[in-house]
Amino acid sequence: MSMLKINGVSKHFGGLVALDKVSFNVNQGTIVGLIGPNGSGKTTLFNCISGIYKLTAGTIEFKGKRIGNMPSHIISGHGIGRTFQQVRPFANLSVYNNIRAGYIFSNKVRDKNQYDCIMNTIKFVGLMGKEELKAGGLPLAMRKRLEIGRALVGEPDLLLLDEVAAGLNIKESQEIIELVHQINDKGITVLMVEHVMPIIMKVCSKIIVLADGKKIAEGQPIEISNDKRVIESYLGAESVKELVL
Amino acid sequence: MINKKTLANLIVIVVLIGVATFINQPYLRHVIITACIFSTLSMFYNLTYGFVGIYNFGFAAFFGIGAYSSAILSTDVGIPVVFSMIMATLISALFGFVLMIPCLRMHGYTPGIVTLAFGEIIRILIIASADLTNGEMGYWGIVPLFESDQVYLIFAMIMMIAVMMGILMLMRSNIGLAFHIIKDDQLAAQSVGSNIKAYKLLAMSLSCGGAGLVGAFYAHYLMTITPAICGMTYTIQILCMALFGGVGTIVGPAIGGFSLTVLTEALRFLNDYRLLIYGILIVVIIMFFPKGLMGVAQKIKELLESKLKMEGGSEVNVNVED
Repeated sequence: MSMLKINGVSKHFGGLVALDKVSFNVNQGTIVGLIGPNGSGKTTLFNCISGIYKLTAGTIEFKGKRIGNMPSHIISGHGIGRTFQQVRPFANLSVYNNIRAGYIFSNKVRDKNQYDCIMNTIKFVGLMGKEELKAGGLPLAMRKRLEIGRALVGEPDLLLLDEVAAGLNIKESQEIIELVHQINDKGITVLMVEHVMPIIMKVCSKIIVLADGKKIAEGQPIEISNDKRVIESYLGAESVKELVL
Repeated sequence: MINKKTLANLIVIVVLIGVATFINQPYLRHVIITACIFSTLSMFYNLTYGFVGIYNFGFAAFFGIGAYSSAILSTDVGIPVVFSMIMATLISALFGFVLMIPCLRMHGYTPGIVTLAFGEIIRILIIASADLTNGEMGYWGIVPLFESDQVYLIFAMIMMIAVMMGILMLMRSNIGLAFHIIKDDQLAAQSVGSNIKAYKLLAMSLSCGGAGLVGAFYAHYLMTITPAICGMTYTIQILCMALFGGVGTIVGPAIGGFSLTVLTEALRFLNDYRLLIYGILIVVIIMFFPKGLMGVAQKIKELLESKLKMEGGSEVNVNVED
């Protein structure tokens, strides 16, 4: 079943075309990767899905409901959680209150015990014992985990992860990938932007490739890694010729 | 539910009010009432400026709107003072709400400029509508709220403490958390599902309504008001108090309000040059003590604690390493 349906979505900033008629589906329970060179529109697409940007054209459907152009907080209420490329935990709040902020605005967990819910999430993302620390003082890997926790505590159906592994060392990114798998095991659909190729190849069941705001390829990791246009867009047409020769 | 700490606080409050009732010197009494008024104002100011991060540089206008509304409603229209004060609070809150609507679309310091202009407009409107407000001459002969100054003093203190408690409870609640996260990161706040526009409107209405209530009290206490109370001078004074005590803390603005009112009284001989001192104070605080007196107190506390730890030997250090 399709959970998220992107239908001919375009986003223009004045004369600049950041997204040009992008369409794809994200099926329920899958992990889908979104890749592309810098400036290809990945984060713009995320911002369109989570309601930060208004769409220039096209529609976005989530669980059969049209969510394009809705305000951010309502989209979040429908069950889409997200993290940011530049991590944005609430720096002046404690870890506990960061997660609490995710809890209190969620419609889904209202009947559940607040403390239990928050502590379970803290445990799940591996921040046990750090509840009272200020988020701003945590190292990057933990701030990323905290952000994931803040999005998870409201029990979203779809989680948007924007470059979770960027800036982390090999061990840390392996751990965070492990976390992504655990999230998916809970039945949460994941759409992730990632630059680190080995990670995306290992984790995702489907990959969508953007270049200059257009979708140039979609398919399983193996297909994508052999797609001539994808290699071209990453390495440049010249180098592909060299490789072929 | 009452633990030791709240009990201790309650005792301190009761003793303070008890002592205050025995102050017979009219001047001292007046200074304390004024200090309570400005402490309460700066706590309400801090609600938007300190907790949510809304720049309201026309704050005194809401104080003035409250003062004039209640004065006119009670004295000219003849509504009982208690009701006129409640209505004045609501009118100020409504003005704050309406002014915030266009400000929602703005970023950074722009709302500051809008509110600044709004404050001046209100001041000039009050001067211009002389039929209603007696213009530049000021509005006098306002119906008093109480018979004796003693009661004013007790009411002012209770008002200040109640507002402090109210804000403390508010900031500990989910609404308080919603305010905090707006100040920290608006984008992230939206992404967790918070309707930040609604919370900004709520904060502004509460803060402006509070200013209106204090303004109404001020009008019935002094029994005479002038359009000057809507001006920049008052806003700067209140801003300075919040900064001095510690912006973004709960007790800080109250302490700032008290200490600066006393300072203002002491510097009365300087007349308008007092503003110069406020200016210098703001610059020094923002540059060197961004959290005001509360920040300094916090630093001293941390220093003392770390000293104690050093004396405590290595056991504590092991814990820190963990």
